Amino acid sequence: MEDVFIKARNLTKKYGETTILENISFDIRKGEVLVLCGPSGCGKSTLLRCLNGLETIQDGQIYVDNIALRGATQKELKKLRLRVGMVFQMFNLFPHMTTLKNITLAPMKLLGKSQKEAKEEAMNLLDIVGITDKADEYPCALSGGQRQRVAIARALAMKPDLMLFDEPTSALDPEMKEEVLNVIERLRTEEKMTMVLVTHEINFVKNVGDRVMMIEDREIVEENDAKNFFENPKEERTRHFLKAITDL
Amino acid sequence: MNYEFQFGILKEYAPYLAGGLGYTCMVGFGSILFSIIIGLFFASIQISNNKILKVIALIYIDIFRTVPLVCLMIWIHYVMPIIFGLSFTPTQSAIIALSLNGGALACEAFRGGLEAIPSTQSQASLSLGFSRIDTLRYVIIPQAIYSTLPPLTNVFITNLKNVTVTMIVSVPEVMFRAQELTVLTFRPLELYTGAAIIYILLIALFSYGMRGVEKLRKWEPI
Repeated sequence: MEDVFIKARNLTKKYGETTILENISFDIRKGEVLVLCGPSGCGKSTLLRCLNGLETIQDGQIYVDNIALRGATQKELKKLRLRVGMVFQMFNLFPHMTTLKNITLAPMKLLGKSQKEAKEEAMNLLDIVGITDKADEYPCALSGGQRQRVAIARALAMKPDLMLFDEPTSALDPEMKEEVLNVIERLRTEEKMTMVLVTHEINFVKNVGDRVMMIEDREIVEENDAKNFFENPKEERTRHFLKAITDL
Repeated sequence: MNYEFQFGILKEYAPYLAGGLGYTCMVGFGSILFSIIIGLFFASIQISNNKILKVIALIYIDIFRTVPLVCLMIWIHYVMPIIFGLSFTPTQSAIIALSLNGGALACEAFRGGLEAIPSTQSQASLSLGFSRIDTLRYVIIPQAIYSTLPPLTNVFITNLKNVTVTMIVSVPEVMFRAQELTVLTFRPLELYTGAAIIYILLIALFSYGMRGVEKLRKWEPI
């Protein structure tokens, strides 16, 4: 069981009196790409945010590389987050910094890298995501797809062991979606990155996802490998959900 | 209406009126400086998690932005010596009163500016591994400076304009001198108009300067 990277056991998440997730357990192996899907408001983004301690859980436990998140100190969480990259739906770039500064800030301040070293690595990452020409632009001068690619580069600059993607393409036009999805696909094939994705991009999930977990009504409805999930779902609710999103 | 304006006398008295500008600037900009310090102090308390400190900040703000400035000034200048044996020069009293008042107003401007930065910025910063303090330092405050500038400019202008009230504790600034000269010349309309023009010019210049500072920003919020 050495290759299990994330272990969630009986996880329960509440906002006040409202229970969002109840008694959820699952594992994520190293190098695996897990996709979370489900109707909006089902708690899939919340679950993602629990995995790097941005949300606290009320019951159960999450182990990331054997570090228990519930009850962890701020210092421990901080240390863990250095190894877990996150990409958001609305990119959340720092608008007051150029592309390069967005990417180099954390490696310089948190990993103690020199400006030269951080900059070289940032340029490499920008090369991977295909926008070296925008290095000195501020985020306001970038398109949505470019912003998201910078956000991915910013997370990758910390050399994370795990990447979390929270609906990375839902705020983007179709051709920009393509740009971002290509980058994620490269991360899987070339870097063997462990990833957890919240997304509605069905065709993409078929190609890139190893496993799909559908969440509805506070629980995991179906957990299946990606191929079976779409072609041969076990649960009626999954069929219903798949029909609803393919009809769009 | 058979009042004959004699703006000609301004030619003679303008230098004396404008001579009060030194005090106006000392009290005005001095209190702006202290307002910033007081405002930042209480704003950082207000966004902290300490409930007791928060209540203290709220009480401070509610007292000093509601008490009429004239009363505040009279209390500091005439009542403090009687009760606490603390006495200040008129200029000191004026700076203290305007700073206490301006600090309460500036605090709200700072708080508004900090709260205007979306929480998603903090999330992005925390998820990279930054602490809360580092998040404030590298991500929130550098952005908040700019979102705070317009409301803060209003606070500063209020500070500058309120310097006119300090004439009740005899700070020899422009308005006080206009009053002095009125007693001498019986020309209140001309002299107060002259004093007003001096204030208008000073504040217009100041607010253009602040707009220039706002334009230093090279980025746009997204």
